[in-house]
Amino acid sequence: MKGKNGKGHHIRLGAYTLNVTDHGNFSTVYNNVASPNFGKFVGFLYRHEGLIIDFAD
Amino acid sequence: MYTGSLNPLVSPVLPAEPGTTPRNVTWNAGVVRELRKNLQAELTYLDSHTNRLFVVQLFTASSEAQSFMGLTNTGSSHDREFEATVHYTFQDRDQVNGSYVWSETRGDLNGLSNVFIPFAAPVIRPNVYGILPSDVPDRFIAWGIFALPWQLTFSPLVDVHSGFPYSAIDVEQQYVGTPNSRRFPTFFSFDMKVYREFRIPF
Repeated sequence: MKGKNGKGHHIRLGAYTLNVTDHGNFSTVYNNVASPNFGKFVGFLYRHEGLIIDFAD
Repeated sequence: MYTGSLNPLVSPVLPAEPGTTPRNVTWNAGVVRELRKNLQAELTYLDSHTNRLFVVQLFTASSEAQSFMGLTNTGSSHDREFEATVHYTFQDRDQVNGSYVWSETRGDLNGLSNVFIPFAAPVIRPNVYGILPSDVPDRFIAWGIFALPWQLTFSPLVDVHSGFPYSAIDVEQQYVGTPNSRRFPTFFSFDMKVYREFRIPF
């Protein structure tokens, strides 16, 4: 079996990191005006790393 | 109950079934121009308009008469998007791309997919035509692919965009002010990956 370019398949190995700067990209907010925390953002997505194992043409 | 485009508070006879489906018209146009060798610019505009969307409407009687929650087919949404992209290639396989996107997303907030979520007792507020939760007016993305020694490839990506909108609500879960008029802080993410490809014998 050959890949799209007719030269067989490839496997891609590597590493990745998302949100390198650890910027506070919040996903939730206290939006009830009666809450003492009204307007406060929470759900911070921290920096995280992972490995890449892709099977490619 | 299904009410079509009628108000059940004043219409004694309502349609038995929708008889319609949502309709969408989407069009886009763009130009691509090579500014100089290996540097390409692209401008595109996209417009998407959907009408006859099914929307949950609250029909509240002013007196002691019965109020209704009805399904209408009068909803609509309108997306507009303008994108400017530059693409630069160098040293055979290295490339850098940058893209700015301006967009505007408006529509009825009580669409079926927004209202009937898997909660035992969903909160259904009066329908409003306005800023949709997915609205992101300004977005800039830059990414690249660079060859490193030992056949490694380095690929960084920067994504900066306006925060998503949200609504303030009161203790009865009703809107306070204009729905989706507030926004999360600006989103910023710098991501990167390093990888190498290996040929496999099959």
